[in-house]
Amino acid sequence: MRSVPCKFVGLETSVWEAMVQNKVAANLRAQIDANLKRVYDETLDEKVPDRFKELLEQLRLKEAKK
Amino acid sequence: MTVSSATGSAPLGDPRDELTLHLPALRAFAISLTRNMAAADDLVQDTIVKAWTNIEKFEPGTNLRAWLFRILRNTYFSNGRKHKREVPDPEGIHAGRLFVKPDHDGRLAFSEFRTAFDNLSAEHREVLMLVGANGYSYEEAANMIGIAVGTVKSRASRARARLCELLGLAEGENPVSDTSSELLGVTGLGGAEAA
Repeated sequence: MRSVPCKFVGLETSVWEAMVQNKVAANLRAQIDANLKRVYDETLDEKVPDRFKELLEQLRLKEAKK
Repeated sequence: MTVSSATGSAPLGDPRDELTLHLPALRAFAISLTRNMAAADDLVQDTIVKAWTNIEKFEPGTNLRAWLFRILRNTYFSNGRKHKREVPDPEGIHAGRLFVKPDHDGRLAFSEFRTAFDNLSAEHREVLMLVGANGYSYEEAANMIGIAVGTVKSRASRARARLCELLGLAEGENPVSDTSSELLGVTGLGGAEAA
């Protein structure tokens, strides 16, 4: 008999193996998402080039002339 | 924020005044698609111009960033632009980090993660940025990409699987050794008693 924590007693091996699989998969997924967020956030922190402020200013001026 | 006097009662102001706020997010999304800084900035510029000239198509009260993301990704994926731009920066946007081999303890190395991410298809990078990094729901992502919710789900799942493959992780393998053993300990599967 395996030493199984109480809450898992009575569960079929295949059931808690599936539960472990699910937990491991969820953990991996959470970690992938944390890394994806980091990929995104690093570029998010970069300074926006002035060309975009200038572009918006040009668009505004063009609009005002209409 | 200025409230447009032309519309008088407009409670939300002119969404065009808010474009600046979304520039960093648009750039981050564009870089993840193009993997090339110059191409990303051109893409953001085209997105801004399109958004500005089509602002009447934006429904006030809805998510402006999601609307902008949709314009950006449509611009990127249309007209074969993606193929034209599919060349990553020669020096690499994140060149400095790529060669740092971290002293790791089994934890997923970020530089390797980044390299793997950059090697995904544009469609996979897109779905992972929207769902994984930005936390959009499958429904929201489906709306932005213009595909069915089920397709987003399966695409995201395949993208994660591909990422794991590129990282050399077996399916279901946990890249964090300590959490992994802790987890297995909890369930009793990590012990030597397993056949």
